[in-house]
Amino acid sequence: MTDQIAKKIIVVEDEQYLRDLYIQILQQEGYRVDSAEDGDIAFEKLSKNQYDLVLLDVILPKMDGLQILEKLSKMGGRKFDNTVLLTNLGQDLVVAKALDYGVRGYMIKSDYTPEEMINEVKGYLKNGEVKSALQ
Amino acid sequence: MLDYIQKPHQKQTVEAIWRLEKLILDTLDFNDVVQSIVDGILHELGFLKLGYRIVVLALVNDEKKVLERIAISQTKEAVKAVEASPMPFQSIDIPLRANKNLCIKVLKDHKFSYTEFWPDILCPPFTPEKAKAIQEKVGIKTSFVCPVRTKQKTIGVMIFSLVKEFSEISEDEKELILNFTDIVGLAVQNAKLYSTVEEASHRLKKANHRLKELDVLKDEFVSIASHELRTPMTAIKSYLWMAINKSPQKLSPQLKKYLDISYQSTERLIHLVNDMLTVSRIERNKIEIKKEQFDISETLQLVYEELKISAQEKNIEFTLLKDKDKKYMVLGDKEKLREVFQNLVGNALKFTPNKGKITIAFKKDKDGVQIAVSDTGSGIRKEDQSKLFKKFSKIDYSYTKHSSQPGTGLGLYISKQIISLHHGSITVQSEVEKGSTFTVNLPQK
Repeated sequence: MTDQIAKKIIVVEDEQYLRDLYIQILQQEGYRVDSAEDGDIAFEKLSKNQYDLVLLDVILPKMDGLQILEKLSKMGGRKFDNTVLLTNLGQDLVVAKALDYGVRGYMIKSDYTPEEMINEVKGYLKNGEVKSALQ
Repeated sequence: MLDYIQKPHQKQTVEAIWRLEKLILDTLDFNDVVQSIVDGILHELGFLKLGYRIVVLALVNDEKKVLERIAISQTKEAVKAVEASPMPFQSIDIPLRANKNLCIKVLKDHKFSYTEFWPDILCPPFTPEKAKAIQEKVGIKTSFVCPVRTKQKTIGVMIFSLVKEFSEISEDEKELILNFTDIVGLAVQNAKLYSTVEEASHRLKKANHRLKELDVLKDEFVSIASHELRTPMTAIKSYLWMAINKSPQKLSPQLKKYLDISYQSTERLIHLVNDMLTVSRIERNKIEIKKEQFDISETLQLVYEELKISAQEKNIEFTLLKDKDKKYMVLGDKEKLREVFQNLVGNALKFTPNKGKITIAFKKDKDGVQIAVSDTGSGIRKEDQSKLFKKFSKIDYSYTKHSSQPGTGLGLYISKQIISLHHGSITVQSEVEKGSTFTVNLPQK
């Protein structure tokens, strides 16, 4: 990581404790980490900035994760192959919709320890094998 | 039954009744049927021309213990009579104990009768004066009262009111009326049944609709509730993990133990939520099986590696018996089957005491693969074995004995459902204190 520019990740998460934790462990791994605490802020940041990885929560204040994807896709020319849904909502319908948008993965937060989460993030960034990838 | 079949000379009568019967039986709604009954005889059979003016159908109401008016013919005399009545037609109820009333007499004697004096059929509820006044106003000379029967009993009467004397009624007319009232009983009974069924079916439809609505609400609730439960659990789990694994100070063994227990308990809660979501999916038929051909022994190898450490901790002799040269191909969902075997082997670990034995073995047959997970654990009583694969089927006795970690009671239920979706089978053989063997059969194709 030292001899190249650190990868940039955004954590879209409204729960402060979880957001703080994710930011902390990702920074400890050497990533540049941005964050958004609600749907509006997330949309604004995502429409302006480039990220190597987007960890996107679904249930959010102001605008939910799927609405953000819809608004962004309406802007055109966007792929969501840098986006992984990081949520505790396991509803099949939501997973199916996420798949429609072409997001790369779907992680149920409660199923991962911080270490396992970091491993998934590394996997996504390296295009390696990941447990939570959607086919 | 009707005896007109034996009397060919009454062909005309038979045909007339048959026509009317068809008309009535073709109708199913109760209100339509009773109206056809009272109008049919006048209009269809031409009785209006024979001096018949008002036809009334009255049926017994067992609850109210009255003979109540059900239908009246649509004739101008009938309209006059109803207008002159001090109470609405539908409220003219005759108490069943009013034995002097001719209608009640006919009902109880099961034999027809007649009167030329309306107070006989209208008192009570009318006063004799009022009944007489109405009769005069409408101009009725005779009322002919016939019992309406079903096979079992007399259920009401029909009152035919005429502008002629009783002596002027011909034998043919009488016979036709009596035969007709015989089928009225049947028609009324049919219509009542039909209306009851209709009403029940309507209520069922409504209930079904409501259930569907509730089902959607339940799904929404399960999904939102699980999300709300998982969110704080994620924070607890993650921070406990950080405390255990990333603590800047070295933890005392005591503190580490406390944190480990808290962490494991949180994991158990998360597991419970996941199991409940799986059950909810199974029950909505929302479980999707992604089938592929694969070697199931490789899946068991993974499960074995994963649980080896726990077995070592308990000094359990843990063996995976497989022929390295053989492939044990099955058609199924790799991930879901892995969960099933994690559950089965996990259970074996839970219920096998220290220094026990757990063995995973494979057998190939022409249809597929048989996987057996055997342990030398506490075993399951015969009477409890059938309950094992049901929802929330915790068997207190075995859990209290050897397990420090109570399960959700959902694991084997979920396993069985998943195996069934693969068209496979799962069975158990067990002896208390000796151990259990869970056998799974999975098809190759």
